[in-house]
Amino acid sequence: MSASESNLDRVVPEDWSVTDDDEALAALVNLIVVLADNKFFLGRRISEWLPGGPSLESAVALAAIAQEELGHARALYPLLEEMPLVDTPGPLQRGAERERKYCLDCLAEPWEWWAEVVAALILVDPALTILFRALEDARYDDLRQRAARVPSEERFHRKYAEGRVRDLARTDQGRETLQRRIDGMLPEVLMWFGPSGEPGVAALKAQGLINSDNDEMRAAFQTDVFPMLEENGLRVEVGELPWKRWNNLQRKVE
Amino acid sequence: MSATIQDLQAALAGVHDPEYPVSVLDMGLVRGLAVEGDTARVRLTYTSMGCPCKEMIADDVRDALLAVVGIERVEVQEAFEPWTHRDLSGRARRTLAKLGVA
Repeated sequence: MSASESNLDRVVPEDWSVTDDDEALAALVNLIVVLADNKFFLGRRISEWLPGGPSLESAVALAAIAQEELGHARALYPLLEEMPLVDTPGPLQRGAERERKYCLDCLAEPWEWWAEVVAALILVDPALTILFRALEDARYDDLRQRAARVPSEERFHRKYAEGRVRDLARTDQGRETLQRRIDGMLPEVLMWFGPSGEPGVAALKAQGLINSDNDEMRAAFQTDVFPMLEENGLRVEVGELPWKRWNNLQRKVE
Repeated sequence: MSATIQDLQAALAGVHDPEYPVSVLDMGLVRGLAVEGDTARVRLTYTSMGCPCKEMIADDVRDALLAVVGIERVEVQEAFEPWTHRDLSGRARRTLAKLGVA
């Protein structure tokens, strides 16, 4: 959601009525790319675990979840084609192996452990949903319609994720294994909402394209997810976030 | 003679969801239907955004409407509107209940 760092040349034509604000447009393009890429790579990473989950039921559930994540991504990418860009971002969805990915670093490479799958399901997926909720009354019809649909489909993902957290947290060994993965992912997920007062998000909010600022989204995520983790004996203590390693364009920790 | 909305609805009544013997109308997937000259326009939503049968349903809808006398062109648009079980018609509910689905 960075305006100044975007390398996409842009011109706001008169017949594109969503916004005539250059900074908001750049932030909107970045937002859509980032949401789509995170959905795409989350779905891809989950799909890689179909044969590796702890049970046949988990394979079936993961297949359904991955399919929906990829469906959400597929619904978002075409929005970029209607954006008034001189240099369009191109078919990002077909470049799974491309070098520049606009997704969290924890989604960039295949997961080695089941606990990583569970940590992503309880941290990354809900974080994305918080952002979709912030778009539910956006003054951009095509985006709002898609965003409004995602949270209802995510309810089942969340139920599944909570069940797997409880499974792992039942034993000391499982809980500590999951704790390590949570410790690894949580700072980046919290940073994904962006630094306080981020200009791109402020421009989107001023234009009626998002209803929450960075800190409000981060707080909504914490309220949504932290109690469930704590109830299962998991710690959610977060120290100082490493903003110096934050890539604001790709929205990831480097 | 131009086709009417009723003609289009009658055609879509024969287009079934790929998984169940329930028409796309009774499934609540058809969110808009219009006819203008020889062109039919239909807006479809799906039971989920990741529905793997999207292309199949859209193709079946297109084929059925092209078979209507007076229709030469069909435009199918995805509506991205929410779908829940409450969108099922009474007939769909009865059929699914018989199948042990609902």
